[in-house]
Amino acid sequence: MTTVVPTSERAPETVGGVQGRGRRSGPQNVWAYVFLSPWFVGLLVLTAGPMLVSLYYSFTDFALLSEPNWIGTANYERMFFQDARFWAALGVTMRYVLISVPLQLAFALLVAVMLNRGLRGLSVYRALYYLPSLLAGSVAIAVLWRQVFGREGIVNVVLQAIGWADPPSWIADPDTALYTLILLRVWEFGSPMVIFLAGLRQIPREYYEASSIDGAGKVRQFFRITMPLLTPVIFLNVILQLIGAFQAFNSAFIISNGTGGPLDSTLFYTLYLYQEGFTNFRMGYASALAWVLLVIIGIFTAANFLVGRYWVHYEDSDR
Amino acid sequence: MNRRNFLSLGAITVGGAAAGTLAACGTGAGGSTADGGELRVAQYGSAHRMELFEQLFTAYSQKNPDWSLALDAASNDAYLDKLATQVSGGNAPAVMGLFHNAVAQFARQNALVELDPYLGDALDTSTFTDGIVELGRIDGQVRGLSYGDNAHGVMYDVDRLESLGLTLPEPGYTWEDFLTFSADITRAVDEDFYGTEDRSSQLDQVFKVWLLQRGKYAYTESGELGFNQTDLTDWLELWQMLRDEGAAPPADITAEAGGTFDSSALIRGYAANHLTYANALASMQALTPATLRLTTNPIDPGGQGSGHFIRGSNWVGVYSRTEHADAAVDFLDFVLNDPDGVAILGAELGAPPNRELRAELEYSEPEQDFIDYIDLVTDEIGESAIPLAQEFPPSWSDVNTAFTAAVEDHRFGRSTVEESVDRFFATAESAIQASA
Amino acid sequence: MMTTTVTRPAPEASVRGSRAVRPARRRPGRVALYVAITLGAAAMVYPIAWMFSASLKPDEEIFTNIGLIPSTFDLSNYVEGWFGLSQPFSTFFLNSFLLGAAAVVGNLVSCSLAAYAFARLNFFARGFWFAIMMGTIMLPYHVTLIPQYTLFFELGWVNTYLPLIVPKLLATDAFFIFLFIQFIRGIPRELDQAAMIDGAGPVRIFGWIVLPLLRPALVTGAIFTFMWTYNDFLSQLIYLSDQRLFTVPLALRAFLDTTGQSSWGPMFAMSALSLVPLIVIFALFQRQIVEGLATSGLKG
Repeated sequence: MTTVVPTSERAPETVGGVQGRGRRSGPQNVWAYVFLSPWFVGLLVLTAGPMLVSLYYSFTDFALLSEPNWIGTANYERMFFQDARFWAALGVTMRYVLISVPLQLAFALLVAVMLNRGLRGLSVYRALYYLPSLLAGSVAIAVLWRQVFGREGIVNVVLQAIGWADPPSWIADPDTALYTLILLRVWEFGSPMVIFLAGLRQIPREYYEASSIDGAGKVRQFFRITMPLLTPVIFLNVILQLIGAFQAFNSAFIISNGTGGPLDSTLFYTLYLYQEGFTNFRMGYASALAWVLLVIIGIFTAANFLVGRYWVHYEDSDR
Repeated sequence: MNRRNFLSLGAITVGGAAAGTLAACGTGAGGSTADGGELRVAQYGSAHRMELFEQLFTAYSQKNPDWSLALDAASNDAYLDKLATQVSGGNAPAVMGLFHNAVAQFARQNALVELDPYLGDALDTSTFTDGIVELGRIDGQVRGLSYGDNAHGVMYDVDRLESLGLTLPEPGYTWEDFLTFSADITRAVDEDFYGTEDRSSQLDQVFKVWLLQRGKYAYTESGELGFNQTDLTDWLELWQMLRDEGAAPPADITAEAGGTFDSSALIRGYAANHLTYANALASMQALTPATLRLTTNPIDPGGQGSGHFIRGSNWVGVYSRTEHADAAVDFLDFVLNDPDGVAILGAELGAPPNRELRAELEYSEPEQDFIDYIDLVTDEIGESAIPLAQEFPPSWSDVNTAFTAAVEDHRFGRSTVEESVDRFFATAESAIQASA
Repeated sequence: MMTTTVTRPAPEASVRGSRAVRPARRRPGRVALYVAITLGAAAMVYPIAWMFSASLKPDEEIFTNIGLIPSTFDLSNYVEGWFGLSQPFSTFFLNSFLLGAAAVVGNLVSCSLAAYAFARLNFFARGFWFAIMMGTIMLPYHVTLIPQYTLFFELGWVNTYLPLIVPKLLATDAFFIFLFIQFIRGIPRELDQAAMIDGAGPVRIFGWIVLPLLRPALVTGAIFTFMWTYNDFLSQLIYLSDQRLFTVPLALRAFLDTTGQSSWGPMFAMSALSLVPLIVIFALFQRQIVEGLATSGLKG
């Protein structure tokens, strides 16, 4: 029987989700650096420099058009002690992340499992379900969202038909505007769905065959085989969507025309960062905001890697 | 430590070290030695506008065969990102179209050439409206020019007015007339429709006109707030009354308007008017089959004058580090003073500043209405204009944000008038202090 | 078609077609599933339908008539959109395809190499480099825009495709490294070990065992890279100025000027048209994800 038991007795040197085994050997060391060489060059030449420059900016008054001056930790002090909008933006983003990520992933997994089965015409459906994700960066989204969630949008047409006399404008009400953006993210679930489909594809079919011979039902198969074997991909999606949601920018920028309104209710962290950097010409402050966000995302990611040891099962782990 | 040293960490050494610091260059005048080459022109806006610029380039190159021109175009929402990045990298176009609120920012950081040495000689402004060139004087030097003249105004859907047996309010109508007129429209239309939109939360819109009718500016010359608690209280109560009387829509209809033309209450069919800059008329007209016409904002009969004033619409400056400053100015002179140049651009970027040529041109119907309106403000009712530096002090963006937040808070019923007023002044004053 | 697979009681290791081994005739549940999937699909398709409908309307009707049925059936927006900019739209499509194809090749090669090293090889400071790699996807791109531009400007690459392609060749999209790592780690290590006993080195294991088994993930990576490059607006805007180099997203924005005179109709027409290649590519490639050779696990 191939039932999988998540291993918690993993090798102790497991670091950062990459599981180590035994002592490193010389040839492997060399080969690893060969395989990594494009990435190393990219890191040193293209990525590290600009990142370090932005770190440096975060300690300056860089105003985009002239040379920066060193001001020490003034940007960080202002952020934590004097800037109410920073806290507001952080709150909006936290709510957005904590609600949209689980919803979107659950939905993506559900649809992936449904569309993975051998139904006739499923490839058409898979393409249709991916459609919203194709629209992600389109400026048409702003107009579309007004047509759907505006005062006279189709949502309200339906609500009025079932008896709600005067429903509000969901995008214009500060209490609900953020939730329409959360819905937008859930609706654009195509990327995690595709990753789930690829993950489902990777599960060896023999496992299912063996277990159906054993008489296991679909539900039982799902929980005994699919879920455990899919954990690396679920974990992958959690991390990627978490990072993506923290950095969400386009939807709020397009729908609120860059303001984060009404009443800052859709002021995403990155939107605020953008306003500070490119509207108020405070790129030094924006850089400080960016590095604080990096730390926040880093903490969430690291926490997930820690917790992941207890529920993520890897096929390559020692038993 | 400057940015370039930092970048050489990345193992890239392309002799950038000699490029010098960004702020060093403020010369410009006479700095151009080349008498031919490529002149890059940055401009935001629509495809139609870009087409006009390409026509300008062709016409200019015919007269100046040594120069070719290249357009660096971007849509409004991403234009500043690109331009600021280019300026920061030391690679910006010689001619830079600028939003009115960005000119002072660029000038203060020495990104724009001082134009004084060119004025009257290489760049003739004798036919421009009196004082308009002075609006671009920042820290003692003229750093920017407006491609066209503009003013605050109100555009009405006159088809709708006609169907209700009403006519466009004549310039000079009062705030009381406005209240009655708007409430009448709301009552007469049997749907979710209002006599006026609510544009009270934007500091740089009708509020400035209303304030000037009290003899005040949003900011003083030294960048302090030019109005007090009483003014803002009166403003909030005025709009509360307009909403209470049904003249203006409730908060959520207003909040659906994102500041774009297509989302305005007029285009979405919630209001009979749009209170904005007059040069928006042609763009708004393209979005609706109804006929739109311009009139002034309401006027306070007991106040000090009309509150309206001539202002720039779309601004332009010359990049301080370009090698082609002379050519850039020559191109601008062509755009602003050459009959061919002015004819190509027409009223696309505002009313042509050259008033002789403005009067000779043929315009489309909405453009003609706009030109007539600008002439009316210029010649009959206009107050003296406000310099850009005073309109947009370093803290303008923070103050605008605080203003919008305070007015919207009150509009949504989340704070009382007093709370909103207090919060605005606390936030705005600390922002002004921080930027001083 | 995937449903052509006939169920076999004891299939061999590599069965073609779907994983649904149950006989395909179990009914009320199946009907309900179809209904649910179809309703869901309607919600997914609505925006496209709406966009298509808007593309048939004149500008002054797009915002005043919000119904799905246009009052006229007028294709002039398509003509105007195709020829409305300084170049015909085919130029932008071609540019976007070239850029997308180069990005796909770059990302797949460089990121899968790095992922293999992280997932399978032991080397000095692996945890440290892994953390750095994850760190590079956590910084918002707005603050590295300017230093990056300065760098590419000094290299003389501004107004070419190099700033958009070279980073992909150098695995700077760490997102995909992590994606591939997770999939490689789903491949049983016994396969490598068996090959190693046969004397295979890391290169052969990577080329002959890992890459073939990684195919669903590689196809996923290819789809994402292409879509995201095709939709990437900001970096293309920053680095490209010459209109002959313009790509689809830049051209689409050129129609639009939210506070000026916009050409909404042509924008919607070209937006709708620009989705067609994406849909075709997705429809073709998604089969590579869910069909094709089965993963053959050696355990059990």
